[in-house]
Amino acid sequence: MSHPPPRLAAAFLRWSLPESLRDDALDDLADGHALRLTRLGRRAADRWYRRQVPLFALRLRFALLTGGPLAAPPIRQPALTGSERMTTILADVRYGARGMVRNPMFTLIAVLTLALGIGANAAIFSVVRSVLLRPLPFPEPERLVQVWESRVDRGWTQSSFTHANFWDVNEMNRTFSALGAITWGSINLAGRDAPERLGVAYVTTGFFRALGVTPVVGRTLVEGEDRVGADARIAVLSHRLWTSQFNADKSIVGQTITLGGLGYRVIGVLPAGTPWLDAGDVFMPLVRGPDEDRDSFELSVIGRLAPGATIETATSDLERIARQLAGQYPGVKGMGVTIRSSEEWVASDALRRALWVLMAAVGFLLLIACVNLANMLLARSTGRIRERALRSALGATRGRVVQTAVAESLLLGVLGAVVGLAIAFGVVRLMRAFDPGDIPRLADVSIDGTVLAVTLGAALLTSIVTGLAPALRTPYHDIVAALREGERSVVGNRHTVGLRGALVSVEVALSLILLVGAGLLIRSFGAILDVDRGFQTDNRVMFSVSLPDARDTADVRRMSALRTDIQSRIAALPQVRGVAAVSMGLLRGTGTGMGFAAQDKPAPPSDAVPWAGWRMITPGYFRTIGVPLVAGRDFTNDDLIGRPWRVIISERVAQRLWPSENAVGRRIILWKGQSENVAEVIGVAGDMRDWDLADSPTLAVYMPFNGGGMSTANYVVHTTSAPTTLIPLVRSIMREVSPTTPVAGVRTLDTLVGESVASRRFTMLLLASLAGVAVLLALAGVYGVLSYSVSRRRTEIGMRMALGASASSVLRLVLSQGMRPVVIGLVVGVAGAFALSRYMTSLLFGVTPVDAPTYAGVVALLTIAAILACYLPARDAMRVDVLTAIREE
Amino acid sequence: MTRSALGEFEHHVLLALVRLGGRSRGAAIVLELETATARSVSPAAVFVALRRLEQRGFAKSSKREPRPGEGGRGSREFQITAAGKAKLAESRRTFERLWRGSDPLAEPL
Repeated sequence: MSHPPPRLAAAFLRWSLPESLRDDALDDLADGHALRLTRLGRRAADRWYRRQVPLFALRLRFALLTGGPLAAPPIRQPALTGSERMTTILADVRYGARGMVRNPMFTLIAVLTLALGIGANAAIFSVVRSVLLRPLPFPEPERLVQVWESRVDRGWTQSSFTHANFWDVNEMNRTFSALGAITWGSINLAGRDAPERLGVAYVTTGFFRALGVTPVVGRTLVEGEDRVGADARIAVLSHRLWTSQFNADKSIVGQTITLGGLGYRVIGVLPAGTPWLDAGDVFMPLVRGPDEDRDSFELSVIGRLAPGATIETATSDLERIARQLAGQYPGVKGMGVTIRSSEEWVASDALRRALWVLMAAVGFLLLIACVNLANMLLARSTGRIRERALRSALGATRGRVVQTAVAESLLLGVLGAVVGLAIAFGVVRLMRAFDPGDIPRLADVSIDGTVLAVTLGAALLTSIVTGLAPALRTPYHDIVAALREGERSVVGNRHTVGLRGALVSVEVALSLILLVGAGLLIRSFGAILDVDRGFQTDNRVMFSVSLPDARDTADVRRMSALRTDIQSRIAALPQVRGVAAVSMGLLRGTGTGMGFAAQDKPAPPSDAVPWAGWRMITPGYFRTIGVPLVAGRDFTNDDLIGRPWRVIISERVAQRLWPSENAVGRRIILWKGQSENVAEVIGVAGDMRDWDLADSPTLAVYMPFNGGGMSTANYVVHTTSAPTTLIPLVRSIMREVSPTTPVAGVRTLDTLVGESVASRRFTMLLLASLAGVAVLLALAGVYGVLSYSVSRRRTEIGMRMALGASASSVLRLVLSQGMRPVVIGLVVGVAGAFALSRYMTSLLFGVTPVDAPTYAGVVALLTIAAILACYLPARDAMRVDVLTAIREE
Repeated sequence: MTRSALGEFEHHVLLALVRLGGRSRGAAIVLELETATARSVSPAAVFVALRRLEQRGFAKSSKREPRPGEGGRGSREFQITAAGKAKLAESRRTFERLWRGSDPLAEPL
């Protein structure tokens, strides 16, 4: 039997209690009333109720007075349904968007900060992906390897194969399903408009089988086409040549094309791709000769491991063959093999290292961007603490408040990703435009699905993390205090100021590390350009001319005469001060070499024979390229190679063989350990870094061009002014002298030097721009935190000044506050740079990773920049008007 | 509001929550205390104590939805928290330490 509590008493209670407690109190008393109703009857229950009502009212009032509010925690919301949740998310997104529009400057800076970090990451990641991560364009690339000879007796760990050794290994191995060899040459194609110089790759039949290439049209080489006596006049076209010279015409297969004056039958066309497929313009069979030698190391060898074979088993298999050959042939003593995985085919070690350094750098940049954004959001969130507290008090759950905050930063993240991708597209285009030429697949780099996904993932993660941190710092435990004191209570919040300072330290440290990396590369670049090259570059131009191959002595004589003719016709041009030819182009990083020794000294042990590059030159080469002839004489047109053997050696060779003695007139053994020709030294020339600027000056032996069968000559012309007008004249001379011979590779020597350091410049510029952006972000962080704290401390500063503090002491106060996190960041950054820069050692030239001037310069630069960033807020602080500041209080 | 020790009455209320187990309404707690102490207990005192305990994290409350057909509002129910149990255990150990060894009541003062 139910009966309600006395109505009047209940009304009194309702009136007397604060609203937040009213319902609960009425409930409790109604419960008690109901219990007593059944046990004691209606009168007793009503009496009890009437007595409790004033007690309740008094007791609660007293409790509120003495112990603070009795407010129940926010009412727990029932779980939202999916669509309700969606509605709240949309509402939060709208709310976030309104906030962004209301505060456009904040939004702009936040989005740009994120976009810079994300854009740089997307761009570099797309390069890394294309160059390092994308698999080779061959089936089962993990089975592909490169095989080198090693020669313990000569101290070589990785050398090209000799022809005979390759053929033996090719036949005797049990661990490869295919081995292939490749070597290079060149040949002239009549061409559509003008004769063109083609690169020829001579390959064995195993080469295409090892790679597993399917031709676009026709076929590649088949078994037997590299045997003695096979038809060598067949050609497989590269995709590039097929499209550029033959209009991608499929009917070219089966037709005969004229190369170097002879007809070759086209049997197929290769697909496009890197590596190997672009190793030559045209691929021809490398035919096994009847009597191959074991002295010239010419063949690059690749292989496809047999199923189940590993690099280890293949190595022991080939070592077994090497031991057998070494027992059979005295010239093969000390032979071994080195097998390397195909990972290195696309990118050299230096390039891989450079790309990983760049990837780390953009990672740092993104971290700095995140830190900066977190800093900005933190600054804003302290300003909005009241808003969050109010929402909590109105019943918003903690989850909802966090959801709102995260929705805002997600919105920033998505915008940042969109702008960042736009930046990435721009950077990728820029990189392609500045292609240094030796980064493989750079032309294929694109922002594809994976890059997009990774970028968006990074952006979302970034924004959630940076949005969560400030949201979680809202004080839920003490909403009333937050409401009462509002923003003022958190101004001096040591935690927030401390956290923001720590974030600034992190930014400074990271940007210092990036700056040190960039600084080291910049100094390396300067060092490499300042290095003593030995040769002169100004007003000099180089080009190469390849005459048809000589087949007999009459051809050789004709070729020498032709070269002399070309040289004298060019020399007769009015603006030419000198002209000469050399067999090896400058700064290619590859070339011809041989062992050498002095005839009149004890022979060195075979593994200590020094190695020199040899070049053939025409008379006047040293004068033309600006290298002094230190002793002896130059060649004349009458000097012929090998008749008798006469050579000019570089100073370092002379030093090596006859230290502080006169080298001229001495006898030098050429091709030591091979053909061992004895030559008379007729001159000593200055040293040059003509191989690679980063190497020490080359040990070089020069021989006369005349009398040799070398078909390619690189002409150097020294002109009286800029050599631009020269090339058309050279072309018309060539048309008169030899109409089918192309003029190729025209470069000024300045350009050649520039191209040889292009990839260094590329890495340096990229890292320097990343470091620059990082420093800007870090400075923005320093400025932001300090100006915020100064604006919050206006009253305090005003008070100090009113009490007699001088402007300089206020300045000191503000500066020391602003610089403290910077100094901490510098210390941490220097330690980090010390630890990390050694990973860059292989990219450096002429500086060590702990180069003191770089560190000092970077620290000084950052310090000055940070002081400038502190100056504006400090100036504001000194201008605080005492009266206004105090009145605000 | 940083008292750490439980007041005597708070102590009683917490113990009542333990004895009742699960969620309990204010009136049930009042009844339990009256039964155990054989004294009349003020619902207002229990009301305040429960909320102070909740603010200190020793109890938690939830609003129970009205049962079907019951109508009206749901009522608030209280439950002891892990922290509350730990607090009770702690105060029990304190008492036991104080009682241990000699029985202070054995000798007349």
